[in-house]
Amino acid sequence: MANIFKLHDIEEKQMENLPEIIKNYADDSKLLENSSNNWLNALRLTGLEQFKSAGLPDKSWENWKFTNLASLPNYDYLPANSNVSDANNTRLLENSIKIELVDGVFKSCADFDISGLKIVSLKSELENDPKWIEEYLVNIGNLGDNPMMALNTAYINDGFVIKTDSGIKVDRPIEIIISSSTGNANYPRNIILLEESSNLVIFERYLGEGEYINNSVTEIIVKDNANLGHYRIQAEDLNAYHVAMTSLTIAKSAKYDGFTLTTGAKLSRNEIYTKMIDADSSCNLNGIYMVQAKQHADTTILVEHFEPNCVSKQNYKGLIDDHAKGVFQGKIKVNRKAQLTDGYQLNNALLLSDNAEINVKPELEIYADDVKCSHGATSGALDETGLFYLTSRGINPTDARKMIIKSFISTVIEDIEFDELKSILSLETDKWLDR
Amino acid sequence: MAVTKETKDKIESMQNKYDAGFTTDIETELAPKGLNDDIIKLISSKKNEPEWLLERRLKAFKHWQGMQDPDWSKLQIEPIDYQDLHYYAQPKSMIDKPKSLDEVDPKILETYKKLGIPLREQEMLAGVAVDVVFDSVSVGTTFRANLKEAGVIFCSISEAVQEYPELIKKYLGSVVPMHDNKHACLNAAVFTDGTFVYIPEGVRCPMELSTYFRINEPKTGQFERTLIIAEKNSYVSYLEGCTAPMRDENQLHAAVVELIALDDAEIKYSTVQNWYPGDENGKGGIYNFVTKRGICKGKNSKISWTQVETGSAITWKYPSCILAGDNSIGEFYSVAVTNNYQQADTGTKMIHLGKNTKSKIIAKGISAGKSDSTYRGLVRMAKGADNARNYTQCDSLLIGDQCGAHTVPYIESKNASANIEHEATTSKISEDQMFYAMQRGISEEDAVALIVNGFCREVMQKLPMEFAVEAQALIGISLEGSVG
Repeated sequence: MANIFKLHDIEEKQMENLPEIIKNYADDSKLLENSSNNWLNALRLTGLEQFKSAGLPDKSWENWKFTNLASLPNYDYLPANSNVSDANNTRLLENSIKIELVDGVFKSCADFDISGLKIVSLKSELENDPKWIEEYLVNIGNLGDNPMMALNTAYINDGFVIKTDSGIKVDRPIEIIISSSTGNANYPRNIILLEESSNLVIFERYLGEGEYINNSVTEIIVKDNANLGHYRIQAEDLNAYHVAMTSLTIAKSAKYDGFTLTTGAKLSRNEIYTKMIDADSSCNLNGIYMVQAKQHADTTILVEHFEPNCVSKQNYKGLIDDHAKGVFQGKIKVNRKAQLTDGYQLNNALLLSDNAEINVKPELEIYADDVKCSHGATSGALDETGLFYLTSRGINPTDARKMIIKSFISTVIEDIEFDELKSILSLETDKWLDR
Repeated sequence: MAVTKETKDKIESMQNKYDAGFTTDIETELAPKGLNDDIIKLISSKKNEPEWLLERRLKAFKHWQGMQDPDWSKLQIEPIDYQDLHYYAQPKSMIDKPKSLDEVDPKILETYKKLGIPLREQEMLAGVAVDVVFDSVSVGTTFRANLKEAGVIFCSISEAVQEYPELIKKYLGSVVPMHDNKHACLNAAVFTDGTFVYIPEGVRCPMELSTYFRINEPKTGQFERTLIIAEKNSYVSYLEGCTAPMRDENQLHAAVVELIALDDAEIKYSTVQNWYPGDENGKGGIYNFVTKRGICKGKNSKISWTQVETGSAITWKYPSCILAGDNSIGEFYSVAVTNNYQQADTGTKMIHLGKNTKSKIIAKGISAGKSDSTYRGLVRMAKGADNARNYTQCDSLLIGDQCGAHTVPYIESKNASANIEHEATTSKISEDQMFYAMQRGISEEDAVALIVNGFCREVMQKLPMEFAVEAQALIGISLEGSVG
């Protein structure tokens, strides 16, 4: 058993005046591994300090204008408390390698026999081979600008670590089931690293029961000529909070195909910061959010182009019903050197009820002249003419409505480069429409 | 694209080609530098204002002292020393109010002649009435008699305070409240002159109305206030132009414009903003911090903003429409050209409150040199805005690889039946287009101007004829030195 993250590392004054949400940090910190990595303890304290001075983000943060976390309830940090039922934990992909993360703790990974692929828990990697992950944990960016990332950093302890060696093409998808149980505050910290010219597909599913918060941070690095397909279904409990921060770095001629389906959580924020650090790479950041009741779903994306000739595409569709709210903030930043950038961004929202609400902020910030950048955003109700056309041909109104909605979201589903996912998404959509 | 020597020479000869950059040498009465209660009392007494207006000014000043500069824009603004400015500057010859233009100081008249603003009614382009504001005072208003016959009130706001206190009391600050933002609050405290327009019920204003603003004195700011009221079923088209001398200092211009359109009324407001932009090293130039807002109060009313922004070192301006009346329409057409070290952060807000309200936004940004241009806008569909529609198109054109073009739209909808469409693109002038123009013997400079004018055509077509010609030439001049 590794040492406990020692309380005496934390000066008493650092523990004073902690925000309500982490007022038990002194106790919680006893549950964090020490693992003799001094940098790790220092990093946690930086996270704590930054969160302490920032507090929970509210409207005064430009980046949080439409999503207010100020009234986030205070849940307990209980990483070992797993009461999650196994009912939903069967895998959806037939051939996949299953990983389970329960309440922020890496629980299990199915056996596999693929050389050059490493799947381990962050906790064990911090013990066995901490050197290489230090870089990816420490250089995550300015925590002062991102309080939720700072909060996660204060609690760095476990999560999944997936790494492919150069040239390895993994032919089985990895399916990660991340489940949470009621009353818990979970802070999984994950790393995905694809070395040069490797290929991998990862499918994450977020599930849970009751009221909790899942505040995850995932660092993804796709090196030269590597290719990552990364798909997520966020189906947390409708009483839960879900804040997923993803930091994505794409190197030369590399490719990232990403898709997120959001149906769960009372309040969710899916934030992706993409850095295209070398030439000729491409990324897709697509998704669908389907929200109902009083759900609030926020998608915030920043794609920053640093080098020439890269392609980035963001395409999101929103279905907003009942009293739900959708938020889409997407930004493309093209730096001086990034000539010949092709940047595209689209958000279409369908408001399915009189009380639904959508807030969109699609932003372009461009400093290079030879670029092709565009964005579009629309919001409106279901097309009456289309409905009339279908019903006049004998299709009952409920089916007609479904047909139109399905065709509305079909374009983003079609673009996914992992065929097995398409049928899963189609089922999920039907389930949502028939609810 | 390779630069020919000819182009280079031409560009060099055109440096500092800001035609309006001269100063007029006249004696001016200045208020002491600084801003305090006494200065405000002085401004108020100079204008012989009623007590309620002075109280309002003092209240605004008190509030202003506790306010922060708006910091959300993408602008680098040197801190402004508000105490190092004269808040009132009046040409001495204007102290005894001249009864007609014949009595106005010939030097002032000469200024406007040089700027190409005709003040003699016989010299006028047919059908444009002008109010000219020189530093802190209105010099004169033309065609007042003709307009009066039609029932239209067109005069300086200082006169309106004396002659139509009821209207001023009712509408001043009703669209832009004094607490709106720091610049508008400063204006509420120290505003000096500006234009007042009142179009009575059922009247279609027989001619275009126009105000020309000129800053002359150094170390002054201009704080004008414009108020336009269109009663039921009336129509007015209003044009605004502005220039200032070339100086190394940054001069502050913090104006407030309020428009009120009642049932079935229409206000068309056009601006050609050509304040001094600073030199090619970014020295000097006007800080143009303007709050412009119109309310479509009545049903079926319409407000349309058209602006061509070529001047100012820094532009901070968001002409907006509150679409309160059912079936009302808001429009915003904008061209913003920045060159050298200019910065522009401009756009609009369309607040849809009423049913079946419509808005259209066409914004074209052109950045050259080391400048930055940002479109920032808001389209909000409130809960009651049934069947409201918005269409927005923002296009940016970059000339050279040292400039920036940015788009920051906010779109908020609380109504399912409201329909919003937003599109934005960023591009550069293609080599094909340049090649095509140049192989037909058009010079590089002219080809750029031609293509840029084509890019802005949708907006230029919305300008009244008198302005369109000037605006087209201005865009050409603003971009000089930007190619190669």
